[in-house]
Amino acid sequence: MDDLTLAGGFSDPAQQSAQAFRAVMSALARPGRIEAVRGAEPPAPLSQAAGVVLLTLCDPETPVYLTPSLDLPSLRQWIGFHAGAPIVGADECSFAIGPWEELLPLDRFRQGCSEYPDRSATLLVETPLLEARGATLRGPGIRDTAELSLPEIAAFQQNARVFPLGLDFIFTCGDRLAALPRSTEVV
Amino acid sequence: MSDDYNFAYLDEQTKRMIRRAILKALAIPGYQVPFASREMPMPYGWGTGGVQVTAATLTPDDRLKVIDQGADDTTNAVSIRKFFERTAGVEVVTSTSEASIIQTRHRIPEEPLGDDQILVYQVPIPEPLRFLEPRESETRKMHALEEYGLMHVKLYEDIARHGHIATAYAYPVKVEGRYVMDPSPIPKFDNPKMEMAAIQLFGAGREQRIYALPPWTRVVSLDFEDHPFDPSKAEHPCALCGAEDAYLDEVITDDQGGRMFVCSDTDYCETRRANGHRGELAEDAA
Amino acid sequence: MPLNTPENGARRDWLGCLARAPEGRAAQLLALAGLAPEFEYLRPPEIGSVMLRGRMGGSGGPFNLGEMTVTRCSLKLASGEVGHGYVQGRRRDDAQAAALVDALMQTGMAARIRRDVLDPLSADEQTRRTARAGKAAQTKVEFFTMVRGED
Repeated sequence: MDDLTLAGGFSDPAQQSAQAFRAVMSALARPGRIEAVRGAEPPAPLSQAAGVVLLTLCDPETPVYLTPSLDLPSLRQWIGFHAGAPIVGADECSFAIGPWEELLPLDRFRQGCSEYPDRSATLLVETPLLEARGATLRGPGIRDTAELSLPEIAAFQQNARVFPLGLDFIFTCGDRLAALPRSTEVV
Repeated sequence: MSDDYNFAYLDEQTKRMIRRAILKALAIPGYQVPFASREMPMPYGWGTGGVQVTAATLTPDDRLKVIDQGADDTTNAVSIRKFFERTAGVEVVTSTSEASIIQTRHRIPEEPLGDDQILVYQVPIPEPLRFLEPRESETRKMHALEEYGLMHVKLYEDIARHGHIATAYAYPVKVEGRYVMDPSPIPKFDNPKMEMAAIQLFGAGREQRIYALPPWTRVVSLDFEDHPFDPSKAEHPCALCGAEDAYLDEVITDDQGGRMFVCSDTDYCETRRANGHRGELAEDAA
Repeated sequence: MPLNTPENGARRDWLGCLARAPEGRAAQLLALAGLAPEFEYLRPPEIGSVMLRGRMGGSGGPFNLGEMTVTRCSLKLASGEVGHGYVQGRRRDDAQAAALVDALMQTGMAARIRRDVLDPLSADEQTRRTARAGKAAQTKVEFFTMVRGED
């Protein structure tokens, strides 16, 4: 086994995952806010932020879907060792990771059901650009309006329309992340 | 801090499970996310839900405040503060403005919270429809279908019987026009404060539910056009600090019917008195 | 990956031996042997719980017995070998010692580790088992019937 795939986990899991969770929670509770995270060094090409989110939220109870460009032996091993999460297809995953184009179409992912809308997938979108400029956002967590660079608009409008069902998105870029829950209206 | 426990008592896998539930709860404001509540070293009804949410949220840099009915110095608040001092080694405070996480039982602090703060509620019965419909399968369907007629009938029956809506605490609210939510047994006086800058997390340990409100989420107390919601409180100033705008506890002082009204938020009252405010019964020894 | 190879079997045996060792014993033997190799953590010692499963009933159907506290650790020696350790209870030092022994068993020092650490551990274990079996044997009752005086 290549030892590179075993390195790069949290050195102090309890405290680093607590700090990372606070950053993710803060980003999800305030769509448009960009947070920096650190502590994980996943194998390329996974971004540091996506690696941190994986280590913080994934474990044997959360199946993960890797899009084709990320479905590499090194990443499978890294996730297997550090998170213990099974790698599955798009239709059964709790978390999906990949660039936007490879995550499409979104209707492959679990959207939850009307009695249990929480049983839906969270998508980690790897983006080359992340800034608090672009599409206008409105909804819970936003006092008036916020802005966030999004890969497109229509898909997120459609996602918000099926509320309380739908997907939640975490955008990762380098060591930074932002989030867009299903409750956010993209204008 | 004791080294025998994992940071903040819970093991990492449990914390991950709770954290995922918190994130889903924030994404669907007002919806109760089921979670696998753990046995905690305190009895149900003593805030096991709030404690688990706090444990999953806490970082070593936090300053934790715990209040029970607004007071920092009651048994429940003191023991939970001690618990986290020992298992997480965090700094504990009583000042509302200095705290980064506030765990509360049945009150929202009087001082407005900022956007870097988190308010964690201890919730006994998370289901607002439970007293109207005991079956979980049915209440779940009612939430799914947005079928809240029963709740309005209940409030209407209050008006028919008492002339006004008699619910004074745990007053049901509607979140973002979708889910009817139990705000935990806070006095209805506190309901309008729920549209705030801080993140609000609700944990029900025995009932195994977590729900949440992101900052500035629309929270509307249920009412009727001709019987609008009234966040009333006792019509008195605080006997110690003279505050007119704070929620008051009634304290019986003798067996002759003597009583006084004092702020339920002890930190608010103490801060006001330290700033020179005096109520009619304050001892002016200072 | 085949799980039941002879190498895996041997590794399972020594990991089991380390997991059953009493508190502090593996670290003590390691120190006595004068071994303190350099390593870095892949997963620092962490405490968690595992679900124990048992079998019961005529068909041996599995059931969840309960959760047990375990401590685990993974590390890599400076020479590159990776070791894992799992022990019962909240014992960070023991989990680390177990991982160290596991890693060293994959190096040229395997024979020395076997002699200085693993053999004493199995001998301990054997002694413990014999002592326990001896204690249990003392409580054995031989049932027999006295003459019932029917003459």
